[in-house]
Amino acid sequence: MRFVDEFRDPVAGRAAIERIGELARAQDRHLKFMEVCGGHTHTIYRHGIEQLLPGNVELVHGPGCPVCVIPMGRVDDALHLAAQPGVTLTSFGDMMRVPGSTSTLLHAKADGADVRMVYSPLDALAIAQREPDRQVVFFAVGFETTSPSTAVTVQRARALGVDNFSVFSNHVRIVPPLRAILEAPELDLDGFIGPGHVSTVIGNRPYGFVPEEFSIPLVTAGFEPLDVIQAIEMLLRQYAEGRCEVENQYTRVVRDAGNPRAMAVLDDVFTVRDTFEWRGLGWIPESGLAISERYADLDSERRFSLPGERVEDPPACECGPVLRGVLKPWECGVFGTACTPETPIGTCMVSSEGACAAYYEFGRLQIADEPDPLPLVSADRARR
Amino acid sequence: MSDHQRLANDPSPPELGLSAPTSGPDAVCITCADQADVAEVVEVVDAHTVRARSAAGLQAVDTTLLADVCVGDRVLVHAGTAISDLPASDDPEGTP
Ligand code: SF4
Repeated sequence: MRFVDEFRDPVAGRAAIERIGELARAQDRHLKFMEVCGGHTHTIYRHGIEQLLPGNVELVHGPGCPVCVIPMGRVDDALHLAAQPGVTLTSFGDMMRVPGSTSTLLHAKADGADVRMVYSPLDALAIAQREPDRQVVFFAVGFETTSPSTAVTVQRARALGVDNFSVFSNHVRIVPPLRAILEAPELDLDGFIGPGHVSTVIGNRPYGFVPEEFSIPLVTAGFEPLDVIQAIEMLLRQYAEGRCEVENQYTRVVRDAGNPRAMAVLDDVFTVRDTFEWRGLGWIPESGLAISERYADLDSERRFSLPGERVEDPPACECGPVLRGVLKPWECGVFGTACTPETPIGTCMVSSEGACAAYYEFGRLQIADEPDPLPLVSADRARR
Repeated sequence: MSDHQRLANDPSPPELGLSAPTSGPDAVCITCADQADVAEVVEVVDAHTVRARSAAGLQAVDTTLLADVCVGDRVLVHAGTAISDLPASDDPEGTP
C-alpha cells in the first residue's frame, strides 16, 4: 500500500542503518534516545531495530502507551461504574484486561456486569441511542490521537440530545510527561523520537521547549520500521551538524500546525485538569483532560459518585521505572514469570504497545537467535 | 440508522470488518495503541460520515475533524474518526 510499503523496504532500511553506523562512530560516545510512543516501541521490538543499531546508540522506552499509564485507582473507578445497576460500561479492547486493585473489566463482565468493548466512542453513543433505558458510560483513555474522537462524540451526544450517555475521561496530554521526564534527574537523554499520530493533532510546535530549554533534539516519526530508522538517523545527523531542533520525519501525515479543527473541538469539550496521576510517573501538572463545564451533564465523574481513591501498584510491579525508561522490561523480577500477557500484573504487559508486552512478544526471540543482519527480515522470523 | 449505530448492533459485521487482528503478531487494540489506518474514501454518507476502505476492510468514518472530504481522498483513521488527510497517492511528499 502506498505510504506503507516504501517504509518497509529492506534495501532502504539497510542503507539507513549503514549511515547510522557512520554517524554514530563519529560521535564517539554513548547516545540514549527515547521513543515516546508505544507504537514506536512495538515497531522497534517487532522489527528487531535495537539489534541493528551500533553499540553506542541505545533506545529507551517512554510513557506513550495510553493503557500503560492509567493508574489503578482509575481502573477501580471504572469497575465501580460497571457495578452500578443500569450502567453499561464501554471501552477499548485493551482496557478490558488492565488490572485494578481487585479485578479487571473482563472479570467484571464475566461476573455479570454489562461491560462492552467498542472500537470508537461513537459506537458507545450508538448503544446509548439504541438502549435508552441503560446509562451508557464510555471509559475514555488515550492521548491526543484519541481524545478528538471522544470530543466529537460528546458534541454529537449533545446535538442529538442523548442524555443516557456520559464519558469517564482519562484522556492525557503528551507534552507534560515529556517535561516531567526531562526534569527528572535519573535519565540522561540525548534525543526523542516524537509521537507520530498525536502530532497529527497537536502538530510539532508544542515540542519546541525540548531543544530550547533542554538542548535535546526531537524528531517526530511514523510507525513503519523505516520511519523509526530514519528518525534515529535524523537525530544523529543533528549531532553531526551541530544542530538541535524539532524535525519532522513523518511529513506525509504530520504538519507543524497539527489539525486546528481537532484542537478546536478538544478546546470546546475538554478542560485541562490541574494535575493527573500517571502510573509510574506520579502526579503531573496539567497532564489530564476533564469534560468541560459546557458539557458537565455528559461527564460521568459528575453524574455518578466515584470512589476516586489512589491505589499503590503491587510491590512486585516495576512498571514505573519501565515507563520512565530507567529499567528494561526484562529487568523486572516478575517479567515472563508471574507477569505475562495472559496474566498481566502491570499495565506494560497488557497492551502490545507496552514495553513489557512488546518485548515479551518479540524481543526474546531476537535475543535467542543471532541478530539478523537484514533489517525488517528479523520481524518475519519473530512472526514464525 | 447510522453506520455507527449499525456497527454497535453487530460488533463484528463481516462487511465492514472493523476489528483489528486479535491474535498473532499483528494483534493490537488499535485504539489503545495510538495506531491509525490509512483509508480511502469510497462514499460520502452524510455531512460528517464517509465509508472508507483500509487494509482492515470497509468502515464508517466520522470526518468532523476534516474539511471537504471527497470520494478518492485518503485519510488517517483512529477510533472511527479521521484525524488527518493524506497527500494524494502520486504526491512525492512523504516518500523515503
Ligand atoms: S513485567 Fe509486569 S510488573 Fe514488571 S514492569 Fe512489566 S508489566 Fe510491570
